[in-house]
Amino acid sequence: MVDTIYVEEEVLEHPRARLIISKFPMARIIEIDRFGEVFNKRNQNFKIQKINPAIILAKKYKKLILPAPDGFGIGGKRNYYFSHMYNCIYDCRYCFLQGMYSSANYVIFINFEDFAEQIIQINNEFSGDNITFFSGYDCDSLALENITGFLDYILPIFTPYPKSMLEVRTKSTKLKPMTIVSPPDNCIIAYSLMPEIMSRVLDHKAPSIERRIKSMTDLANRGWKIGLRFDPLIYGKNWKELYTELIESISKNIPSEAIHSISFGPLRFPRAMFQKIFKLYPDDILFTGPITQRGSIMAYSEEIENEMALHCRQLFSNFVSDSIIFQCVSEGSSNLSDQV
Amino acid sequence: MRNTPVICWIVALKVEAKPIIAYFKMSRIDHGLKFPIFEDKTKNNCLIITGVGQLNSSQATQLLRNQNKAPPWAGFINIGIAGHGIASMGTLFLVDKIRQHNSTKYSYPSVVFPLKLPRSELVTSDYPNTDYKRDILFDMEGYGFFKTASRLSPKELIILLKIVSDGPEEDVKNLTGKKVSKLVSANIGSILDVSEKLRSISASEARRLSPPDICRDILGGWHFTVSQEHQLNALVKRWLAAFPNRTLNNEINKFSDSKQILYFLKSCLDNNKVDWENLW
Repeated sequence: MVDTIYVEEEVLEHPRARLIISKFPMARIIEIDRFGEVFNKRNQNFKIQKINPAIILAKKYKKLILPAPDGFGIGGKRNYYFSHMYNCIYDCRYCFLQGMYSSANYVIFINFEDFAEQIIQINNEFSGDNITFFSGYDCDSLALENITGFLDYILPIFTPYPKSMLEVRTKSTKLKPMTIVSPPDNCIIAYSLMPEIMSRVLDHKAPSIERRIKSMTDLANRGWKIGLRFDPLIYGKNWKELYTELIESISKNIPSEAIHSISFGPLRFPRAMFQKIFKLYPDDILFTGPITQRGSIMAYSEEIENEMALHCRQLFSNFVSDSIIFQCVSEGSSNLSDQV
Repeated sequence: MRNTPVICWIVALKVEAKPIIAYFKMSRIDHGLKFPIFEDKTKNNCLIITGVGQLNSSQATQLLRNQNKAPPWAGFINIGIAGHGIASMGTLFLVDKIRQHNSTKYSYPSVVFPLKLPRSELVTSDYPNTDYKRDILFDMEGYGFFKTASRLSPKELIILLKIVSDGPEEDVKNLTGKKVSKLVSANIGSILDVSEKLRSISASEARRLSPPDICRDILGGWHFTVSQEHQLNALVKRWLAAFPNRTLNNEINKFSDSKQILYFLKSCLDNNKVDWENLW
């Protein structure tokens, strides 16, 4: 339970801020000027903050919607990403957020209207193009939906733009927000996945893969488009069998027609980010694998990466058409999709 | 460097420190230093009496750290009396917002574990403040302490506890040494509860940041450069996590120099296929 909420003075009276605050009647409210006063300061410790994270309610002014890096996409001509939150309630060991911020508190930007305005502007500017907007670069898009109501707000923004697609990346199995609206044609609920026994070790505090598959099945039955995200691919003994079992389990439960796209990508960290994460969890099992330095990145060897990519692509193509399988590779920077 | 949790207590007055010194059976260890320093037998609890004022508090915090050779995972606790506008005398507060009297710039001590203690903003001034109109604490040391301590340890390991000793109904002039000691003693259970929680985080940080014990043996047996030593510490941590059932000493005995050891460790890890199925 969150026991501290920092609130920027400017948003203190915002109805959305008041609503969020009202959901934590026991929390102490601390007024601040800007969220930078308490977030990502020097000499903060991400790992310790993760014990009892606070919420920070703030307004985002700049860089609300950003172009996605090259090599990232699921078929759209233009790709953008955005985050209405920084940080995540889960604690996945491969997550780049651990290396990005020194603070684990959840920053919620409550000026959803400004995100919407920029999305509309981009949609109007490139109205002839297929555009994909990826939600959840710095957070899990749905994990705190019951508190933020972000999806509820942002979905209707996409209604007038059928060529514009919203991807909502998540590991959350709280489906309520998707049960109270009709599934739009241009929204994908995209689940991050890996073999169950890997997830049990690496996806701390996150729903099990079994529960995620069950949620995807429920959503598919309700008519939602589903994205399968295998990013990062994790290596180890029997990895081929483990990924095969996972795909079998998914294909048994979810009709392939419900799958909008499958994307996958290797485990990669910029070197400096890897060092920060490794320093936080030096004896974590993830780092006992064959992760080596390759130029400015830390990753499995090229041989392992290629073998995994080849095998997994084959597995996926037994399930869905090749045209909806996408490989994400971003050189020297964290993959857009590592985070959830 | 030792790998045990450490708690550094920063206290302005001897009468405030007395119950803590007594509880931990601390003895005075300084010889002719500006501020009296106390330690328990383990050296894992140390305390400094800073005297009144921000500058003293700041200097003493740094001095205690230096004298105790406090590691980067040391927890710092500032405990002391304070004025408050409305709270009753003897109430123990956790401080989560702090500023200097003449400044509008705040600092925010983290609240890293859930506590049942009431929380408050603290204003530190250079003179005794009897303007008790607001629902905030007033002291003369907290800000100076926090500024210095947060350079020495992560902010999450720094705690300010204040006990209300005066207010509109209780004149500061009526305070006596005995009364102050009594106020601290009356709250000692809660104070120790906080310090034990902090100690547990300090212990976890000590485990994270210290080299594994076996590294000491390896460094004693072979010559490593400083850069190699850093590589060794990281590789050994990974190796021990990867192969918990193997004995590293036995496997490296045959090597004649540091390069061979580092190569061995790296090769083991480069060829390690994590057995995800048997981690459970």
